[in-house]
Amino acid sequence: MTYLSSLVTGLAGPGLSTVQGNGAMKASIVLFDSRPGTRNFVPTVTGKYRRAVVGAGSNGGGGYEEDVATLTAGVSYPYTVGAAGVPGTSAGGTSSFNSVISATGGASSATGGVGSGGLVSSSGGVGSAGSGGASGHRFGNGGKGCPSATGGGGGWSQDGSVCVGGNAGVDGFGLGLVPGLGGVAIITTANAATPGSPGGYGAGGGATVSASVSTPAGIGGGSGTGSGACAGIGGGTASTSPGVAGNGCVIVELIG
Amino acid sequence: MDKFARLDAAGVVQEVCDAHALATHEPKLAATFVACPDEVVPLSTFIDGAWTIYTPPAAPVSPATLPLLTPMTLYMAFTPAERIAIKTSEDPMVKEFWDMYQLSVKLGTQTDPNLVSVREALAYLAAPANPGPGGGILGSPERVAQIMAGIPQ
Repeated sequence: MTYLSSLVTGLAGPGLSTVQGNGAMKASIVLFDSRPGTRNFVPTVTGKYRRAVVGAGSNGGGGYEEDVATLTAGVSYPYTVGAAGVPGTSAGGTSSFNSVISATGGASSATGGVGSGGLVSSSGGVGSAGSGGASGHRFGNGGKGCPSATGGGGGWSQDGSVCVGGNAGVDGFGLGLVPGLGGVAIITTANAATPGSPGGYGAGGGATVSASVSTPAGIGGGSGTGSGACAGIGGGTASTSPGVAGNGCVIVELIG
Repeated sequence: MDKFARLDAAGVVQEVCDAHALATHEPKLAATFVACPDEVVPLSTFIDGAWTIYTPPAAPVSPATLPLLTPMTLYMAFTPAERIAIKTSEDPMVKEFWDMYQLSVKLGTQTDPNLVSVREALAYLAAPANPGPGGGILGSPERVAQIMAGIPQ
């Protein structure tokens, strides 16, 4: 894998986190669109931009692609945000920007999507019956979902494990947010469960053993098994007892 | 046609998009999409130049829920000849049905025709007289539906 930081100066690469820790995206993010459809981005400032696309999730996580280009103020740049797929039925939709970079969605069974056309490409995590894979990200491929019947979803840097979602570890979409921990659903009584902690940014959702309740995944994370399972952007969901996979997204950041 | 499909190696449609979305995809990926008829959906196939449109399996239709039957409604749903045959039968299954009915009268409770046990008991009454001793009390399977619906005779 080629890291963007080795090609372009002024960008954070692995180990050079830009996270702010205040819960807000970097002010340099000028577009973060996760609503499926084809629209135009019209920059107000001519300059150098980081452009990233994330394919939508299904069972596998969506792929990730990123590049850098100069965009001109007032010009319309078309882009597409892929719609979430349905495990066992349809793959996640492809997200693209201006006929230059694309990232396919996760397959309806297992395989993650892939990125193409840009400088940094990564694949979505593999999904399974028990949980979904995480999306690809700028530092690597998404984590796998845990195949257990009570599996946690994949996180950006860690596979899901039984009941617990994988952790993020990195600011995978370069948004400036703090990487999160995998979600855990807590059993409170013998026959009922209440949601515990949801997956944080880039982390997978958790699941419980007895009631198959899930906690939602964070942005980019895959979901676990059971009711309430909800993947983050680009994340996949379980192919049995599935929840909802995540749509793709398009990110544009003014970097110079 | 302005609809396009992305296929896997086996020719199964993974996703479909319109021309506007296709135009935003990077060229190598866009080249993997093929024009398709408007009715193509994911899981359709394109093999040897022929499209086969995927049709989702029909959702199972749940039978309509029948209203509960009061003891009198259930009693009046049988003809006099059927009631006599039930009361005088020595068949354990028929006697059990009659006991169940009398219990509902005693307790003042309604009978749920949606219960499997009730459906099976009525089906037994409609079974052919030969070989079972209890069968033949109801003249036809249509009588089962009439009784479960509480239609007075």
